Amino acid sequence: MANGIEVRQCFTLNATPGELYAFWRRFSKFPLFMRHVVSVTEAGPNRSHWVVNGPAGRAVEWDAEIVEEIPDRVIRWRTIGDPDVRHGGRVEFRPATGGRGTVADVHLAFEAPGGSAGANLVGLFGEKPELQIREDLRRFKRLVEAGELPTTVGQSSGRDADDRTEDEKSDSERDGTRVPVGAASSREARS
Amino acid sequence: MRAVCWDGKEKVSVENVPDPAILNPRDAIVRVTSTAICGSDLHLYGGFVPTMEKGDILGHEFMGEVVAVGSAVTNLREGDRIVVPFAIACGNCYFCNRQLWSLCDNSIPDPTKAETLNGYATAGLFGYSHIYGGYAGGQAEYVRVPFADVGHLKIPSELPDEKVLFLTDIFPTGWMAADNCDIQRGDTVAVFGAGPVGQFAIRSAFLLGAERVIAIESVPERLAMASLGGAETLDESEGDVIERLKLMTGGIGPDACIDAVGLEAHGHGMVDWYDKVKQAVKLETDRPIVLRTAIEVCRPGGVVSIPGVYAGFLDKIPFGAAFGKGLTMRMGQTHVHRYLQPLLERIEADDIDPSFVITHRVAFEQVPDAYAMFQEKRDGCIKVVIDPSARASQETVS
Repeated sequence: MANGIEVRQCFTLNATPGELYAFWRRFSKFPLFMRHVVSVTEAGPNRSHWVVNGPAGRAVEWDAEIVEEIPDRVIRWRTIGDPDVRHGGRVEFRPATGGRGTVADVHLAFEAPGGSAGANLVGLFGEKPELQIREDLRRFKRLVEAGELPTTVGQSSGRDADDRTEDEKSDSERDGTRVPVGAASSREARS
Repeated sequence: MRAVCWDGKEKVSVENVPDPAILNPRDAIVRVTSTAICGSDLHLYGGFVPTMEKGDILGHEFMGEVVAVGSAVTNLREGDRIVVPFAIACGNCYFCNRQLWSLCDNSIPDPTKAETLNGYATAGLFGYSHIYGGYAGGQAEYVRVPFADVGHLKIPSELPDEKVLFLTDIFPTGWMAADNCDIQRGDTVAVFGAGPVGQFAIRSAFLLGAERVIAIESVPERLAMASLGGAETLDESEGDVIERLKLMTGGIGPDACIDAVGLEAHGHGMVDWYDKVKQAVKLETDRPIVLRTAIEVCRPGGVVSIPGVYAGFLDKIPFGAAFGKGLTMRMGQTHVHRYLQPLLERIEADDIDPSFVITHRVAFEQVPDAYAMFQEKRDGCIKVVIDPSARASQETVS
């Protein structure tokens, strides 16, 4: 992992470790808060299949397995086989001090990619993977705490549709990636 | 619908724009029955707030009737009459749970802008620039209210709009300013600035037990209104405020000082903006002097309470005096949700009728002129209320 990318982000959420663990463990819900994830499906015991929006709207896929699981506390996973983007991750839900909710601590490590995989990483996470992952985690927090993601997409203004500001455009309009219909609409929905 | 849109520095216009729609399950749509221009809207009008965009709908003091609710809103229904706090808060984050509603973590759609510029993000606000979420505001016929299930207070039908409209902002803001002073029996509170927030701070200080309130201001009609509220007045234009305040307080200084002026210039943490603004508002460079004066004149061990908005970096604040005198300083955007019910009860009990502050009532068509009038403090203007149902052809300016 010497030349890879490591990202660590944490948020404190107003929920119990068990509630967060249960929400996170339903991998199929990841597209609700992970902007680039199209789908995560069960692919056998402790295995899942991921489809992610890559550069130029190309789908990137991989299989992952859970390598460590402590109920209500820790999930650790890694990709299996030889995917374009070889990586592993760990999420830990720790009680915060004094009953102040739970710290969700996410650690991701991507192996140094070469060739097209390097381009994939940039496409997946932009120039700043830590920012992308932080915003994914923030969306997780907001779904858990507020039950929805705040938005101004589609609100009224004195601007024509062509003059809308960046925050009034949907994610797909803003970054030019093609987000499948299901993922785009479910993103705004209460889980 | 008609809405007041920001078109650039000192330019607002009334436009026909699309009606708002429910965008999230916790939204409601409100048909606005009364809305107002806030002193802080003048910061936007003056072009001091970055991240405004042409076409933004202004306004964060509004009330009205619910006409639609999202699928997750179970405590409101069509026809309910509500006031809406100016800050948008989720009701279930660390901050909301501690009654720190204006610091809500979950209401700005893209907080990365604010975090990049300021190092932090707080709650989204209606009609108050894109760094505060870019939400369309309430100087309009209809407005979308996010997190409407926690962001409202239902109003009994017998209370007229004008008595409760200011629960949205300036009454709680003046109240929190006084509440932050920890007023004890016999206390004297100095209120700097007798604009709308200062006026409510004066009356709130008395309701919270102050024995004396001294209003420091230079605009005659504001001094007169302060005086009607029971305050002793000190015309700031007549010379040394510190010396005169000391003489009025037995040489010791006020027990608490409220800075209800703030920094006209919203710098939003950006040094370049701060510099530009400093140049642009040469006329207003005395504004930070209010905070300096408050610190210098406050009695040792007293409280400096700051409802006036500050945003950037301040020059030459006598922090040594603040430390040396062991002052307590409290500040921040108002946690309006916290005060809605208790202040409604104050209104119902006739402890206060907030409509005292209104000097002008206008129709939409008159709003651009009203902004200019308010900015220039012309025609005795202290507070402007907009009636969306009125037409300019009717004589509505009072």
